[in-house]
Amino acid sequence: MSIGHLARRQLILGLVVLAALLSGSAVFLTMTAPKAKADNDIRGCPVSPASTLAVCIATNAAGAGGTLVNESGNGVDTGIMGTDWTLAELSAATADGVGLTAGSATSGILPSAPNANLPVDQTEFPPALPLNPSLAGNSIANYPFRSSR
Amino acid sequence: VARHAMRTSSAPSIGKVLLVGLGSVSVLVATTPQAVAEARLVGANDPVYWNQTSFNGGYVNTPYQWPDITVGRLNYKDENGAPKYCTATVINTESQATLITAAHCLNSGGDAPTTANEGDGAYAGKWHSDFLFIPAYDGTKSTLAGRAPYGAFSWLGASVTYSWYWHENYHDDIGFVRLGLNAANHTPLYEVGGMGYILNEDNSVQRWTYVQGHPLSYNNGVQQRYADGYLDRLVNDTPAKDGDGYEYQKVGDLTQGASGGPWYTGNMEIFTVFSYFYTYQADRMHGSYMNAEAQAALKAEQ
Repeated sequence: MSIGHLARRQLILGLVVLAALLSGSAVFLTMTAPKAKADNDIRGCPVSPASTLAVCIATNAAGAGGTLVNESGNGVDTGIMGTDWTLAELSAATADGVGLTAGSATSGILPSAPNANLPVDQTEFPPALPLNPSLAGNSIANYPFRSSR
Repeated sequence: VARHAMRTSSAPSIGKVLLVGLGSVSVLVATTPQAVAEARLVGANDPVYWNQTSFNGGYVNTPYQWPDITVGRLNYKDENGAPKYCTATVINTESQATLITAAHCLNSGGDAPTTANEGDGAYAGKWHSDFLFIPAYDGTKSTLAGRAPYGAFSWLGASVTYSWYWHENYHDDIGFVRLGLNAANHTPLYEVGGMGYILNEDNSVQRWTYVQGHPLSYNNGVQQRYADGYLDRLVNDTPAKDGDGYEYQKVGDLTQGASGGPWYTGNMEIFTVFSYFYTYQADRMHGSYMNAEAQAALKAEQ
């Protein structure tokens, strides 16, 4: 094998390694994106009763596989859902124009449940059930489209 | 324009072809015999339509098993004080006490004609009240313990999407509720566990889907009904991100009362909830695509 061949093989190997490194970097950047892209999944995992709380979020940036990010449950998330939403952001989120034109989507639509007045069994349950103060702080009380008891 | 035509057209008259509207251009697409029955007008902003190729449905066996026990009735009073109910599901969150349901179960929906009217309280949706969640509710039982085997949970807060609050936008008919404890001082998650969820999904997926609810049409909504079927995407209608979300053929009697009931994967991940159907197209149910707006509402109640 000539020196020329060796040099060429080293060059090719170097390019392969470089490509792999670049590819790895891209994957890493995708996995640690600070905020979920519009085409990313955000998943919360199911949990069976009385099991240890384990909130997990999966991002699926590449559309295949997905990366599970386990959270500690201490309320600090990975940044995927950690940004407070301002009114402007919410407005921007709807800037696609879907349904914001009067009469574009709602006429002719029949909501599927609340049309019927029902005999409701509300009275057989205690009117004021206990709250859970230790968990109440998790909510975002300043979300503008919220009602509280 | 396409959407308007969709509302006003007579569905049977277009029953032989699939007409796909792409802006001002209409494309005639030949369909397979199986797909003929699914023919309808599709607008460019109507993202995903499903061709349900198979279906199973029926009762949920009682006593319910997990994850059926995460589903229950959400009783409430509407904006006029009238008692009503929907279906809701416990999902797995940090508070251990979050429900997912339809926004129209929580708030009447606003009637702001344009974005310029947002912020004017006169156009805001009106809140429902007195939410009470009874997981695994079975009204056929003779005792309270039988009807509510895991107790009942009152509410702390409820949040809906921005577009629902101001515009009664059925593209964003998603809402979340924070619950308190039951009489045993347990969280809902402790008692019944919780489903997972999927936000911002690439909704080009095709999957076996499960739906569940308390339809009024079956025994006055006192028991759960379920259905499952393979939802096969019928129209590759891009962009598929922010529109109605999901549609599929109505499942038997899963109608009024099933509102807010979960549509979920085999991994117990909810990707939408029962929302609405068109009066002229009553064999099809719709569920909103859970986008950033739903994410924001969930954050408020997680």
